[in-house]
Amino acid sequence: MPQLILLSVFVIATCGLVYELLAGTLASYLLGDSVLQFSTIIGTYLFAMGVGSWLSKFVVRGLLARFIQLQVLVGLLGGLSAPLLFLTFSHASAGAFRLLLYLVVFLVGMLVGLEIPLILRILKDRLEFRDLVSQVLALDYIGALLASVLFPMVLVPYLGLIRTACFFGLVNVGVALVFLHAMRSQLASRTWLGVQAGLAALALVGCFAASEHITRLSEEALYSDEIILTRDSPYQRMVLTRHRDDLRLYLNNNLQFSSQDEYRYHESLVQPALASAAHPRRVLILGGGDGLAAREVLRDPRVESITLVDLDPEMTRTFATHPLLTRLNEGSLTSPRVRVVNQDAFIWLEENPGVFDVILVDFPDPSNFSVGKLYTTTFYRRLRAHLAPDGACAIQCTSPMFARRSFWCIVQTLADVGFQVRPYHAYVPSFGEWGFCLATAREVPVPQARGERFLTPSTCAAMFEFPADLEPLPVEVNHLYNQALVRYYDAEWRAVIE
Amino acid sequence: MIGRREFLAGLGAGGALLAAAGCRRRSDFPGRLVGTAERRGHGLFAPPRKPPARRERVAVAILGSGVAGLSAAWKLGREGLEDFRVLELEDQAGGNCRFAEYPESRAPWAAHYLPVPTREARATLELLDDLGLVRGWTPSGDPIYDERHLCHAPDERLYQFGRWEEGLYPHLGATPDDLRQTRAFYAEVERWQARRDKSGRRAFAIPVDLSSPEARELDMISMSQYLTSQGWTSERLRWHIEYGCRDDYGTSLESTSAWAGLHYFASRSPDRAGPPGALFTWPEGNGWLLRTVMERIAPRLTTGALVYRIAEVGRGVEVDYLDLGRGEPVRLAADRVVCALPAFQRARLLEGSPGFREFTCCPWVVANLVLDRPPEPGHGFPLSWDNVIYDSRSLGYVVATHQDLKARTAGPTVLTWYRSFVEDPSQIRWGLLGRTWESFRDEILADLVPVHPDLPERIRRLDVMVLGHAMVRPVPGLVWGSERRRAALPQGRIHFAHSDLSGISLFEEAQYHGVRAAQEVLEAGGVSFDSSL
Ligand SMILES: Cc1cc2nc3c(=O)[nH]c(=O)nc-3n(C[C@H](O)[C@H](O)[C@H](O)COP(=O)(O)OP(=O)(O)OC[C@H]3O[C@@H](n4cnc5c(N)ncnc54)[C@H](O)[C@@H]3O)c2cc1C
Repeated sequence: MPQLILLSVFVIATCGLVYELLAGTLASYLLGDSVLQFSTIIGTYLFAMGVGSWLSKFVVRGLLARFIQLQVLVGLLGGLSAPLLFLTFSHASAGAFRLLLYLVVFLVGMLVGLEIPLILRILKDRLEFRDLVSQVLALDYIGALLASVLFPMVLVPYLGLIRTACFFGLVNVGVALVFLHAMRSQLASRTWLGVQAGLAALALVGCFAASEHITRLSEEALYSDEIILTRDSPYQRMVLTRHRDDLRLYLNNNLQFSSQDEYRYHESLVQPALASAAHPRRVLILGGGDGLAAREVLRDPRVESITLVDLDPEMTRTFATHPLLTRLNEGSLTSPRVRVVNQDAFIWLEENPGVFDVILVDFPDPSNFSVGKLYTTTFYRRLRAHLAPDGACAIQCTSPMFARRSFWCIVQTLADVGFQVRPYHAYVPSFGEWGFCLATAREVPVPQARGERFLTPSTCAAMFEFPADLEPLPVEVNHLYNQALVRYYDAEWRAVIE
Repeated sequence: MIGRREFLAGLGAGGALLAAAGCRRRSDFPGRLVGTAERRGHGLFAPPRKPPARRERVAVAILGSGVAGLSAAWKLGREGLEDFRVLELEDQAGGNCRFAEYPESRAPWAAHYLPVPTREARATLELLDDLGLVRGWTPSGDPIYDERHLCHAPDERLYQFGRWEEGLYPHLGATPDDLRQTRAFYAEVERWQARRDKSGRRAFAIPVDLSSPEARELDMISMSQYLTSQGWTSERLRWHIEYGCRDDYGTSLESTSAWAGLHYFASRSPDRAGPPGALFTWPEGNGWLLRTVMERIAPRLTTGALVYRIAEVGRGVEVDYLDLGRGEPVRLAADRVVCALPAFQRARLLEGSPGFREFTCCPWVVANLVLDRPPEPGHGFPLSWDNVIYDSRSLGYVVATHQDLKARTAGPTVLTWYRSFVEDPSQIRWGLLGRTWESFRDEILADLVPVHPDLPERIRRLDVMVLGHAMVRPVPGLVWGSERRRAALPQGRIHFAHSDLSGISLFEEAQYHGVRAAQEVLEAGGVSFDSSL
């Protein structure tokens, strides 16, 4: 019998440390600042263990039964800690989350702190005191070692946080069940204890099975619509949501399009350039891995070939295969006229000599120094070298309303490298007032393009008029060495958000 | 809010959680101590006794292939004089512009940037044009540079109180008095920048030799004394200024002459062509500037050649060197010699040379950390080209892949970490040469890990180079003293070049002296040429 109890020491020590690591990992991921989170979690946990040890003196009768109940409780609380914290995090305020986090850590720590003193007392008559202390404590520490190795190398990568928690909860409950069985002769209220352990096990198994669902639930709370697809690539996280028949794509949490009004954006990006090029035969699209700009281009029978350069193969693959998405982009990415290249646009322009009649630039907004490079004089100079003399470029230029300086900075930068620039803007409800530039080598008249659903010749021409509140502001040119644009953009969108 | 979402976004990638789980592959990466200069150079203490049996001949022998030596070769080549040889101790030419070549990236072993040249640095502009860095000229005749090679934003950031801020002045926590003193200091710098003497010379020019003597009194006192005399006692301001001295000269405020200290700030005057504050940089650092020249002269370059004796004999010069590959001494007979070696070696090499004891040099330690991807950027301003830690004895690190045009650079990179030793060099040099790789590794990790906790897991290898005689120290009295003037004068058929001769170690200074020495040789040979100076 002592062997069984000693074995259990080892097992519960492993469980105990896993809970502590779980809480630390969760806290540092959800709240950031891992050093601070880990130290405060470990501190709280150790302190709570001390409290638990002290409280153990108040447990006087029925030690074995109390120990079994303790296992059930630790298992339940520790096992449900991760799912519970997740859901709280996505549904409650940060303050509430923090409070719950430390409460859970304290309770689990306290319960774990009760374990060893109880075990020592259960075993005190069965073993020599010297052996007792040395064996119990040694096993306790070895268990801790096992946990600390398993946790980062096996548990987190293969099981994930939620399932790890549930699994170890089940292990604790398992210890309770084994004790219940092995020591049934010494226990009075066996059935009642058995029911408790069984219920706890049921809850944990349920939670384990539902772990995917719980993760998704947390995400949905943040996105508020139904999530129909998520994809991770080395470059970005793609999340597609649906609300009735509105399909929305988020890249790294930034809205990329809403199927309700994306045609306004894409017609505005594509049609003026197609109308301004003398012979739109060869088209280059940079970015635009969703295939929506390509869809607009393909409507023009004069276009012979489209080269689409997008960094992310996951993105173009998804938009070439997912039925909801191919319906939206009308299968543009698999059209025989379209060639998809997955490469960095800057590098691609550098390494490929081709000249194009129309170039469409559809990059994410210049929200950081990395993307900012794609809006600099160096980039635009390279772009020019790829544009046929009678061709036309169109560039998405963020919002002239929310980021007015940013918008005019892009205009200025294009002009600085020698483009003839015609800025224009369109209203896209899910984005707000949105800005573009038509850039050509030679001066061209204001285009009067017609689109499928949005543009008419006269409204197209009207996009090139700017009301007073969108008029130019004095700005610097955006160079690689100053990245003035990223600074404007940061200041302007921060002002919008705050 | 974004933070939360990103977390949830990262959930799928369980592997990423490893980092936070406190599991750290401790410093079990490989690396080594690179650079044998010191041990090889110390062969000078016991040169071969017998005169070499192997004999060679050349019109001009150039000793040393640093910027100075290679610039002399560049100028001679441009003027059609091809009969020269360059002798270099190391296996790789370039001196302080040498660089490492890792599969992940090239990375500098020392010099890593060149500020957009001043109007006076005409030879530097000529070189940049020769290398294709000038895209065109403005109507007023100023160069328009190829921006790809100018350091991209963000260029500098400073770590203090657990977060990064832009630039190298510690703004966070500065008092109004700190800021007032800083403004006053920069106002004084601007006053000097604008100043011209009657013949239009600046007080602080690059090349140093083109400076007017207006501020020469400042060379008599230390930068520390100067700052104190102006009432500039702010610790932050003094840290900021000392950082410049440690970074460019390897000296402290106490050991830098006030003239040199001000030169650092006032010479880079805003009216030169190009965007203010702009500088050129490349993955391999200034080695990029020498590559073309090296290719041109490759057949005339001998590496692994330790020069141990230079003597004027009759109507020529004998240069004795040890061919380290074969362990064989060689005598190279030349009509003229450009000696582009550090000044401290002269007394030992050159028969009848004075000692030039005023030239002292400081040691540096440079480390290249090869990473599988850049470290987490930390709080505040994002990862920049130059990343400095306030109150550290190191100078921080530069990122080799910074100039990468790819929009996302999460791939492998190399960080080059620098430390200059401002203590009395004669006291510490030998100690440094005796230190192990492990002790440097521990020092570097102790410096960087508090700032980048994830660094140990990122490191693939870490190589360290100890530069025992890295650069000349502009102590008070050196720049405007007579010994520096004398050291630059030719001795018979031997001409001298090296950044030491400016008293401050900069690319433009080394190049200036190299080109000047080449022009002396051309002039002596009666060759007509266009001056590059
Ligand atoms: C760590 C560090 C960082 C620096 N960063 C910058 C920077 O960013 N920008 C900048 O402008 N400057 C920088 N410098 C200054 C740099 O020293 C100069 O820019 C320039 O490279 C000096 O060139 P040089 O030709 O004068 O000297 P060196 O580069 O010292 O050249 C001397 C050459 O002579 C060789 N040699 C020595 N003895 C013998 C012998 N007996 N026989 C044969 N050959 C011999 C040496 O091996 C060496 O190649 C830095 C210096 C250091 C040490």
